[in-house]
Amino acid sequence: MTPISLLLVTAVVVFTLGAAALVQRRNPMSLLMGAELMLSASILVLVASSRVHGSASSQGAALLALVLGAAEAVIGLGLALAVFRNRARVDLDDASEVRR
Amino acid sequence: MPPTSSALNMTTIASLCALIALSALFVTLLRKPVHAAMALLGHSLALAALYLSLSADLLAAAQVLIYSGAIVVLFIFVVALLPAEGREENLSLRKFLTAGAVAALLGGTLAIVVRPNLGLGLAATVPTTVDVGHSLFRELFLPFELTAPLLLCAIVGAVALWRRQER
Repeated sequence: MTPISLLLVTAVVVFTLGAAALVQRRNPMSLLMGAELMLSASILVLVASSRVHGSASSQGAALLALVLGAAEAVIGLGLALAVFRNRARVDLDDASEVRR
Repeated sequence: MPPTSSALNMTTIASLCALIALSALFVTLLRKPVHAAMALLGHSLALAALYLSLSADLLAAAQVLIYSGAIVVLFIFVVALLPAEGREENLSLRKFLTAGAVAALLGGTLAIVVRPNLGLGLAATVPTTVDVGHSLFRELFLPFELTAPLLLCAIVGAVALWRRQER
């Protein structure tokens, strides 16, 4: 097994696990953690491609994707806090005011 | 002199990959958000170590600073502020099965997509931090500059959400 294939398989596993967390959980935090997992898997693929092509720009793109993840976490957690702070339980299925 | 492709230590990479996948599994399965956040911390630190062993130094540093430093700490803050520490009440079997089905479908599709690329070798040259900096200010100049308004929007959005809550 080559190092690149190992990285790609890991990325697929992590991305799939993140998607499963996104579908299964009802907690906004776990949902966001699933999204972060998916993002980190795609960053891993970018790093692997930088080693395959010897290109610096894929590493640069990975850096920019990292910043994207930070922005996503800030907005997502702010939203979760705004919706669920004054509730007895944290369940996304209860958050019907988002639909209105 | 940058390390050549043969310098990659297969044992290190394999163990780090196993650690990354295992901690991702814990993030998905653990019920308590604090535990999941700790698993996420382990995941991001293992990723940083992997980037370091792939000689992506700048990315490893950014991973530790942004992911382990900022994002995981933010998660832990929010866990502390949410009611009942953000614990989930109950999880239905139906959701569990749906998640399994989605994971199987997505994993299968991705495996088909990734399969032709599994035999890829490594390039002779390894991009250094200087090269990455050059690419950020040349090919990736526009996206790099666009991160500034993106982060500004994120900050303003977070503050606006909080102010709306206070009213």
